Amino acid sequence: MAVLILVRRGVHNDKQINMIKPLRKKHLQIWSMLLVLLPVSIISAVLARPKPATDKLLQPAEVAAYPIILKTAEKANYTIRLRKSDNAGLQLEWINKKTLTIPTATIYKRAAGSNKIKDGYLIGRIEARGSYRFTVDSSFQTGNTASYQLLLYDFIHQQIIDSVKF
Amino acid sequence: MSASYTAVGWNRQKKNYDWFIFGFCVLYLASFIIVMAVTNPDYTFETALIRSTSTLALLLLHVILSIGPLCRLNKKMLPLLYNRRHLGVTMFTIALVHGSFSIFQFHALGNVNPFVSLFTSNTQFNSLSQFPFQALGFFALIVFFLMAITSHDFWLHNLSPKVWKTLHMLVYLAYLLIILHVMLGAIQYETNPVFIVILAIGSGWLIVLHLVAGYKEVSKDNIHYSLQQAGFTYVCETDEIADNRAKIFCIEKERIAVYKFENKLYAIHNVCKHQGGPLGEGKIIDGCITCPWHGYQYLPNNGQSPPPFKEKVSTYDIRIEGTKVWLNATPYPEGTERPGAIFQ
Repeated sequence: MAVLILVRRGVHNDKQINMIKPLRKKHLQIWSMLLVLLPVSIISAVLARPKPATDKLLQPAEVAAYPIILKTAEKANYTIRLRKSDNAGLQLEWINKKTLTIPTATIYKRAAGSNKIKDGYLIGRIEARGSYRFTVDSSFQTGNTASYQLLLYDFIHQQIIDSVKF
Repeated sequence: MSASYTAVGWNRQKKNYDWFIFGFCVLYLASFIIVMAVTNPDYTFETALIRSTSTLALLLLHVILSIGPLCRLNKKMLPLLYNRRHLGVTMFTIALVHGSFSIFQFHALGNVNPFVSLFTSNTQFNSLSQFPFQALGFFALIVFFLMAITSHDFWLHNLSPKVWKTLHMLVYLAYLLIILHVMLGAIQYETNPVFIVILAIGSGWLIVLHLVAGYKEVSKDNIHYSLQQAGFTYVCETDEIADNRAKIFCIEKERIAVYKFENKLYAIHNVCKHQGGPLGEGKIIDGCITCPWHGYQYLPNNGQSPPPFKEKVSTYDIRIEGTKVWLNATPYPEGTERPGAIFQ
């Protein structure tokens, strides 16, 4: 009888038979590990994502508009206004109504009739989109508007894009 | 079940299954490419193909990994298991198309060997967001390749079930590599959170499914049978077992299937010789115990496959006293004839 039991035990220890229970255990162990590894992988990858690039204007943040509009000039692509504050400060407002075909440009004040940039007075720089406000001096007073013009200058291609008079 | 080597033992069920898989894949790829062409006309056909095959392969991988535990939880899912290998080979083929087109598009147009380029064009291993994720996909594809070429009984027999099963369990490593490949690759530049949510749900589904199925199996193994008598253990009443069906009992850490067939009870080892399928979850067909996984058959009275097949499993003594079923968990050598226990 003892011999018979030993023979039977020999069969019981056959590799193929005994493989199954450890396999079940191994599956459970693997998925217990994946229970940790998968969420950690997904969360880490989400946290590591680079922030999407946002449009960043090269000009400083837009300043508040002065309350009184003294003059307005309308063009197809932009509106330009001369504004005045309560304490007599002056401000030039440039609003792009459409996206410009140039990425960036500068605005100059120049004597009427002259197109020479090098003698002009640089007011500021604008980009293809957005609105801009620049503090300007008393030479922009309403009484002087006929004496000057504003030039929009593409400094990359070194050419005047437009001229505006109030 | 075949006694000699054949590439695929085709039958009607397998053909229907494969036609369904083929139709689904074609429909998915075509729909994806058409929708992408309409919504993103700037993308090239190669890009559409790379993206459509990647999402399809990922979807199929989740389905494949769900089938095992689903079958453990619900026997109605067993037909899915029957041709799981075909689904696996299909998934590898689609992943191979994705990998090949990706390597061609991103690495084959320069003067460096594409495979050298794959591993040298990005070496930022210390950065998570810039990690060379393509290499992760490549290694996963190698695993899928090894699995696909060994997805045949020829390799199961030649490699031995233990080596074969260990090789095929690398699919879990490959799955982790794929998740990292996607999360550190496409997701890093994807602004739509829907993709991350879908991937997280997919992974969560697999984790829960496998753990629930795993713990269910552990609880089955841990049932304690206290009533013992001269080497026999009381396991159940005779009417607890349906005709031509079995109940499985785990005694001394081994699972034994007790079958009811033609007014007799027979006990055989629960593990099929083919791929370790649970014989006790099958049924008697044409007088043979039939494995629910791939249809391997054994005679209930001796655990032998009918000729010309040579598979054999262990048999056990069983005894009936009144309505009580007593089982001796000491196995006889595989294929040993046992008369079975007659019940009224």
